[in-house]
Amino acid sequence: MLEGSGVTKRFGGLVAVDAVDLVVHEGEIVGLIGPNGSGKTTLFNCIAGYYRPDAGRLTFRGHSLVGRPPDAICRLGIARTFQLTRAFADLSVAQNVAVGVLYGRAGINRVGPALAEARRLLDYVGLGAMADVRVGALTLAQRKRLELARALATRPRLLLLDESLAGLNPAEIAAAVELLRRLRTELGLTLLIVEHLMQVIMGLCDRVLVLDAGRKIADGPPEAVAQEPAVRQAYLGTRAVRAAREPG
Amino acid sequence: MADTPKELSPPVTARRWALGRPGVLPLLGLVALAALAVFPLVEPPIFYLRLLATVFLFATLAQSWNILGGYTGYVSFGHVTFFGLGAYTAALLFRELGWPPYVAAVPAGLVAGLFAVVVGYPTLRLRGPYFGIATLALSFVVQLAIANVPWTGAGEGIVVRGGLPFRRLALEQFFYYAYLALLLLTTLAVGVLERSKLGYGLQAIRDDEDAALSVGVPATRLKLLAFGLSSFFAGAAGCFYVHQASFASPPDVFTLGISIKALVYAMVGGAGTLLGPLVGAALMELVNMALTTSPLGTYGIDRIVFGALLIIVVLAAPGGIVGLARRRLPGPWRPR
Amino acid sequence: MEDAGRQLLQTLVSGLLLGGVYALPAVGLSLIWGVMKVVNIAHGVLALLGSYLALTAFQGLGLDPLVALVAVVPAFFVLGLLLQRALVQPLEQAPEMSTLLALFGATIILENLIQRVWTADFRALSPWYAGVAVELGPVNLSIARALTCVLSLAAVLLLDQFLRRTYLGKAIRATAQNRAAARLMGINTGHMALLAFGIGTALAGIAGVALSLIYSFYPTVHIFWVVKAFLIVVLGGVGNIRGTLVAALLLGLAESLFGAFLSFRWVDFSVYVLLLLILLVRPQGLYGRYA
Repeated sequence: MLEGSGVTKRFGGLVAVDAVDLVVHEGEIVGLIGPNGSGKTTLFNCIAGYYRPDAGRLTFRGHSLVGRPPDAICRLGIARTFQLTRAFADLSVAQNVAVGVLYGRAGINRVGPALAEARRLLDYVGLGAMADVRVGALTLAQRKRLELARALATRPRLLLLDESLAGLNPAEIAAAVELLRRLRTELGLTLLIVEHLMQVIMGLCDRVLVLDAGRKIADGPPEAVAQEPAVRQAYLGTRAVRAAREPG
Repeated sequence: MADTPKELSPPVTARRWALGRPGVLPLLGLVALAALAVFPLVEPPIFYLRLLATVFLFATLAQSWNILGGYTGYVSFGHVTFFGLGAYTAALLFRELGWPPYVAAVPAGLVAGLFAVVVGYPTLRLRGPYFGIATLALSFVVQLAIANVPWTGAGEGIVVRGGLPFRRLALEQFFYYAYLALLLLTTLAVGVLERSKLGYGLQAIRDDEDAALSVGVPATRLKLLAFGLSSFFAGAAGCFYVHQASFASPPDVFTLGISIKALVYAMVGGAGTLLGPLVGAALMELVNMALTTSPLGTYGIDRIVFGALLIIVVLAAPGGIVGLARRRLPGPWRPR
Repeated sequence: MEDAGRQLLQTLVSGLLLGGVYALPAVGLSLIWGVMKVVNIAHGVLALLGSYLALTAFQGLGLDPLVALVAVVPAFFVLGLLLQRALVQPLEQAPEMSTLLALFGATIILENLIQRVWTADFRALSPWYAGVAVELGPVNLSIARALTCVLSLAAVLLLDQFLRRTYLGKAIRATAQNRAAARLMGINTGHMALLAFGIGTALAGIAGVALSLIYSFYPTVHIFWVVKAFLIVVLGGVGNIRGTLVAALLLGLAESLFGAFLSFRWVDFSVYVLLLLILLVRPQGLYGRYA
């Protein structure tokens, strides 16, 4: 579904993403992990069209993504969330989602039906009660759900989630993981997720890509990847221990 | 979900119809509109006719600025560029073809709007202060170009006299109604826009352009539309203005003062609200009149008040007067 | 042929002198912009206030404008501190445009205060050396222009050395480059921002006095000054003092050559078109770093 080969992005002298090959198959949940600054978010931004890769190919269902603006990539069927949530602050929760309904998919061009559809989506992610609230009144967990609903509003086939569970408490994480599972089973979505929480990656992902200093150092099922020496050294060595110590 | 919602917007169904919403303001608005419509017929002193006409003119400019500055978040310091282009288009159409203002208004608006789309394509990629300064520089560029080209009258200007078959009171009445109609049209357009797909897209761009792109909002296209629409109304206003002033010269119709008024009136009244520019223009022009006829003397004092109000709004009330009213007034009196 | 050569030389010299003068308002703007990420649109009107104060000192007290600097510099430094505390610092967390709009409000107020005090008439300063020129070989050198240029260059070089050599200067630069890191290093970035605004405003005051010696001025001229300074800053790289100086010299030369050999009346037009083009093509400046 999503294929990349030799994807490279440089900032001045720094190579943020270095000749990365990746494949995401339809229906998969793929985790993208790596230490801070390893290039995960940069790779996301290349896929979503915010950065133009300096080299390499990126295709989604046969369409090249390179040079395509973010809004066009969204309409191809790729939706994303942001690491730090970015809601439309002066719009209500329902209006936020309605923007996605109006512009991210074909078929609904009038505001009234778009708002009705937005409410349906908000119900789906468990935010229905907050539909008429300003986004400033939402908690962090609610804002993350709002971003998810807004992304779903565009009827994506592939969803890119950038640390959408960071900062949540254990109960919220459990609920969110459950919701992500339902996205695949009920909506048939494919997910590519950046996540620091190892138990989420281990429990949720079919496959894991590991980046370190911009390079891909491992690609495989989570259990196998976790055993690879390069990965343990680069990443899991410290983090897995810490994750195991922390409850939840 | 234990939180209680802090601020509830009115239910969506009720918001669909601007005038059908229960509340005092729409009713008051209709009454005021009716009063304004019959006012010139009672043959009032020309002073008041002109004062109101000026309010309508600057309300139109503030409202058109509002489309790009208030709803889309691209603050322009050069709105006068499009006003001036409309004025010159009308002046040239009159000189060459003898077209009266009511015929020239549409072409004048189109010239201004199309020019905005052309220059907007590169400049709307700039964000924040860079866009602001670019619009300022653009207003100088256009003014200097027109001032240096002989065909546009160069520094001499163009006389636009006798475009209408009216005299004295009838002439004043004509401009009064022309500006009022233009203001209604602009406000109607913004009102429709606000609750349309386009308006949602523009507001999303204003709040977070990257996030808007991520949900498929074609930001470049929508910004161009907003810039074009905003400039169209400014250009049409310029057309009537030049016939009223019966003269077009670069320092008159490209003065920074007009850009300032459009921006300050919209901001003080409430940028990004439907009523804000109207409230701002009415209030400020009345303040303007009161100050200039007061012992404080003639010029400068009104502008000093503008500057102070702009600072106060930015520091203490980003939503302007309408924003304050939304928070402070009881339900039925609350503006949308 | 000899005449043409002489004219070229004269044009180059005038251009460099002009550029030297342009550098002064631009570096103040650049400093404030670099450190605080604030485009001080009031920079031009502050400079203009300096011009009018020099005028009053000259006409009312018979003081040479250069002597007036003794009072203008500290007064403007304090004025800068007040402006920063009143309008810039409270808006640090607000949307990016807020500060620009607040400073625009201050600009409107100052412009009209100036108009009330000094009227809208064109003004010019004429100390004894205003009309005097000396023949230096083949070129005519206006004393006022040369003096202004020297004053400007001295101020710019002093600022450059201050920023590079002194502890405070380095702290200001650190704040400009990375505020969070500077704070971690124990620098009080709030004070640095305040200091930079004070220095930038003092530079505007000096610039105004300098400009008053060679140009006539009127209350609304400041907006052209600030836009031109903006062009120079963008050209030279925001926060880059030496880049700003080079950009100012280049602009002075370009204006002078364009005016002498192409078309005098299209000079200003071309300057603003250049600004638009630079903004669109290379907003990070010709060789500056992106702020």
